[in-house]
Amino acid sequence: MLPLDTLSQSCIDALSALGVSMEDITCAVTLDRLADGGAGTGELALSLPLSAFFLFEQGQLTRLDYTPDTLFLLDQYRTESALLMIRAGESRQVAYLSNKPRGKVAAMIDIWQRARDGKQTSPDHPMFKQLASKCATCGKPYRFQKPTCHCDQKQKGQLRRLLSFFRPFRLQLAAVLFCLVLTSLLSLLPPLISGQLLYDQVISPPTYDEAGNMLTGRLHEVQYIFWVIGLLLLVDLLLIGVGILQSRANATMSNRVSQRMKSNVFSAMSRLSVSYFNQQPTGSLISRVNYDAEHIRDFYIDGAPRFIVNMLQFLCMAVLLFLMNWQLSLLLLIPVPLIVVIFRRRLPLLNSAYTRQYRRQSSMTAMLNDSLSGVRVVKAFAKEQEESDSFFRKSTRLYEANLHTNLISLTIFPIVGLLIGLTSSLLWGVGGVEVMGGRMTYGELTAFISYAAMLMAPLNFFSNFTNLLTRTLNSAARIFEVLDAVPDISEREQPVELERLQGRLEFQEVSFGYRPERKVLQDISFRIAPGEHIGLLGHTGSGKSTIANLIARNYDVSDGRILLDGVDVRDLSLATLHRNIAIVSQEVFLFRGTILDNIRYGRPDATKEQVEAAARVAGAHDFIMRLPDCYETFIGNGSRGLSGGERQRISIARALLTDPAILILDEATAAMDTETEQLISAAMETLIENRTAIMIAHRLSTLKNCHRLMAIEEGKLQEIGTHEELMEKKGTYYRLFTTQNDQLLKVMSGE
Amino acid sequence: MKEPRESIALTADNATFSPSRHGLLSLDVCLPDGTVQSYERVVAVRAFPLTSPESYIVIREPSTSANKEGQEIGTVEHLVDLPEPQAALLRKELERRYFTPEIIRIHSMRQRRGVLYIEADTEAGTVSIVVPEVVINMNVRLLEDGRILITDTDGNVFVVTHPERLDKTSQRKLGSFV
Repeated sequence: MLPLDTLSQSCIDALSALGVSMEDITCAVTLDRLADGGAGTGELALSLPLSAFFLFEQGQLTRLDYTPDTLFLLDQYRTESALLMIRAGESRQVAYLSNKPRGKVAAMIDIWQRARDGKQTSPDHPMFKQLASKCATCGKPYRFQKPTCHCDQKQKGQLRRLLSFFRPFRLQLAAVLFCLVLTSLLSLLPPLISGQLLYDQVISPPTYDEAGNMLTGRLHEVQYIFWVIGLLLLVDLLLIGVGILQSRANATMSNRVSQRMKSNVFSAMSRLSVSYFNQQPTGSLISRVNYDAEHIRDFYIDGAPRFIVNMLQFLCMAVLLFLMNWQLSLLLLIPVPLIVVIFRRRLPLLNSAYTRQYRRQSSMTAMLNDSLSGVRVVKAFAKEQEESDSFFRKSTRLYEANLHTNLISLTIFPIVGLLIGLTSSLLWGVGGVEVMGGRMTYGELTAFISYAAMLMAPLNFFSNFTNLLTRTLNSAARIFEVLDAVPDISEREQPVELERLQGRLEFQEVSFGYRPERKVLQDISFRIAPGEHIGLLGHTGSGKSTIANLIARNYDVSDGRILLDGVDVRDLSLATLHRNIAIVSQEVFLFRGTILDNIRYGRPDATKEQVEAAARVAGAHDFIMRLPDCYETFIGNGSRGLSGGERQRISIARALLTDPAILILDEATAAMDTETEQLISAAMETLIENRTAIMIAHRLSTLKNCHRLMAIEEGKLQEIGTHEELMEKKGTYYRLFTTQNDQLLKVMSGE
Repeated sequence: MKEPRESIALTADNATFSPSRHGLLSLDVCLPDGTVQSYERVVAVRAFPLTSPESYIVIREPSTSANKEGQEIGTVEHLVDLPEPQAALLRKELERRYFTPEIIRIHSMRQRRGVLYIEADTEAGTVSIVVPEVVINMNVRLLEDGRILITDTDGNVFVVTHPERLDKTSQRKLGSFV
C-alpha cells in the first residue's frame, strides 16, 4: 500500500469477506467526521486493480466501482468536506469527512487520477512528503519543511542543550556560580551578627544559666559595639563587592551568548527556503530572533542564578531555624504550607489574567496601528468618530483586564502579607515567653524572626519559577526548531556545477501545488531554446509566477521534471542556479545602503566601472547622477525620493550585473505608466539580449518583441506559439489580444 | 477564459430547487431570455455567513476538474421568500456546508510552545482542537454579537454561541484567550 493511512483489522476482515485481498488495495485513508452528531470514523480504501473505492463505515462496507469516465472530487465545506463521484452527469456523495483528512483524500484522488492518465505513483512521490505536515503524536503542524516536532523531546535535554551555548564561557560560569554561593551564604550573616552577637553578647549585661555558664554579655564593653558594627559593614561591603563582580561576569557572558544565539538563529533562518518565509509572518520571525534569545538569556542571567541563590538560602535558613529553636520552627509549619497553597491556587489565576491583559493590549495596539497607518482612509471617509469609539471599546476592554489582574494581585499579596504578619506576632508572642523563661536569648529571637521573614522571598520565587521555566523552554523550542530545520530545497550530495548555462529550459509534465489538495500547475510541458524570448500570459492566479518560482527552484515540483541545459534543476548546485537565473519582479526591494551597494548586491566583487556600465545600459545612470551623492546616495528600504521607474531601473542594473543565462521578468513593468514603461523598455531590450528570457505580463504590448507566447489558464498550458500562429488559432491569446485592442481603439476613438 | 455570465436574482418565479437522485441539490432556472437551464448539482454559498446566514445565498455551479472554477448562477436574496419545501432543502444544504460544532464544555485549554491545545465537548462529541501559533488572535475570534469562533489548524471551525452560558470553569479557561 502507498504510505497514506493503514486499515483497521475489522475493515481488513470485511474486505476479505468480500473477497478482496490486501494486495489489491492501493492506498487507504482514515476519515473522521464531526457532523451527524460525530458519527465516528470511517475508512476509505482505493483499489486500482479492481477499479473501485471501498468505504467502511459503522461496520458496513460499501463498494463503489468506477469507470474511466467517472470523476471524483473533493468539495470543501466549512468544517467538512464531501467526496463526490460524478458519473454520467450525475453526482453522488461517497463520503463526508472533517477537514483533517482532507489532504490525504485529495492525494488519494490524485493517485486515482494519475492511474487514469496511465501514470504510476511510487511510494517516494513528493506528495507523500508534502502530506506529512503534521506531527503524528501531537497533531501540531510542523512549521518547517522537515518534521521537527519537539513534542516528545525531554525538557531536561533542552536545558542542557541551551547550556551548550555557554560552553565557551566555562570560567565565567564557574566564577558566577562561586559568587552566587558566596552571596547566599553572606546574606545569612547579618541577622546572626546583629542579634546573637551585637545584642546578646555586647549590649546585654552578662547573665548565667543554672550551671553557671555565661549566656550573654561575653563582650559587654563599649569598644565591641564598634567592632561588631564594623563587621556588619564589612559583610555588607563584601556582599556588594561580590554582587558587582558576579553581575559584571554575568553581563559579559550573557550578552555574548545572546549575540551568538541571535546570529545562529539568523543564519539558520537565511538558509531556509522561500516557502518557509511565506508561511511565517515577518513579525513572528523578528521576534524569534530578538525576543526568544532574550528570554533565554534572561533565564540564564536572572532566573537560574536566582534559583540557585533562593534554593541555597532556603535550605540554609531552614536548617538554621531548626538548630536555633526547633519548637518555634514548628510554628512556622502553620503559615508556610498555607502560603504555598495560596500561591499555587491563586497564581495560575493571576497568570491567566495576565495572558488576557496581554492579548487585549496587543489587540489594542493592532487597532491603533491600523487606524494610524490608515489615517488617510479614515479622514477620506470621515470616520474619525467611529475610530475613536472603536478605540474606546478596545481600551475599555483592556482597562477591565488590567483592573481584574490588579484586583487579583491586590488580594493575594495583602493576604500573604497578613499571614506573614500574624506569624511574626505569633513568633514574638511565643518567643517572648521563651526569652522571659530564659530558654532563649533576645538576640536569638530577633535573628529567628528575621530568618522567618526572609523565608518568604524564596517561596514567592519558586511559585513563579515554573512560569519562567515554561517561557524559557517555549523560547528554546522555537529557537531549536529554526536551528534544526532542514530546508526542503537542498542540494544533492554531489551537485552538478556548471559555470555558465546556455539557457536551454525544458518543463516535462510538471505539476505543482503549494498544498497537496490544491494543484496550481498541471502537466505543463514546454521547451525553450537558448536565447529565446518567451512571453507568458494568463489571468491573475493562473500560475504564471509559480512557473518563475519553480525555474529558480524556490520550490520543488510535485511531479515531473524541470531541465536546465538538459540537467534536472534538483541536480544542479544552488550556486549554479543563483548565478545563472535572475528574476526582476514588480516589487523592487532595495536594501538600506548606497545605490552602489544595491546595484552590486548580486556581485559584490564588481568594479565601479562595471556598476556604472550596468547602470548606463539600464538607463539609470542619468537620474543617479542627479542625486545628491550620485552612486553613493544612501537609500532606505522605503527608498523615498525614488520613483517606481527609477527603482525598477536600479533593479534592472542589478540583474544586468549578475549577467544571468536565464532572466525572468515577472510583471516587471506592470506598476508603471505607459510612458515610464517606454523609458525602461529600451533598458529591458538590452537586458534580455543574448539570454533566455521569460516575460510575464498582462499587458500584451509588453510582449510584442517575444519570439513565442505561452498562455496559461487555470494551471494548464493552453497554447504556445508565435503571435501569428496564436492569432490563427483563435484561442486564449486571440481573445486577449482582440479585447485589449478593442479597448485601445475605443479610447482612441474617444468613446 | 469563459465569458462571464450575468448573475440573476433567483426567486420563486424563476428558480426551482429540488433534490437530485442522489440527495444533492439540483436547480432548474428560467433565464431572462426564456430558456430553462438545469443544473444537476449546484453549490450554495452564504455571502455573509456570520451575520446573515439566511440571506444573500449565492448559487454557483460546482467546481470540477473539467470546469475548475464554477461560475455563479444567481443569488437568493432571502431564504424565507422561497416556498417550502425548497427553502428547507436549501437550508439543509447550507447547514451541512456550514456545519460548525458548538462547544459545550471546555476540559482544558493550554498554550504550549505557542500552540493552543483545546480539549472540549462539542455537540459532535469530544474533540481535540489544535490552533497554530502565529495566528491565535485571528483563529480565536470574538464576534460583535459575543460569539466566539475557533478555527483549528485543519480549517475546522468551532463556535461558542453564548460564552456567558458556559459553566464557570470553561468560561475561565476561555477567558484568557479572548
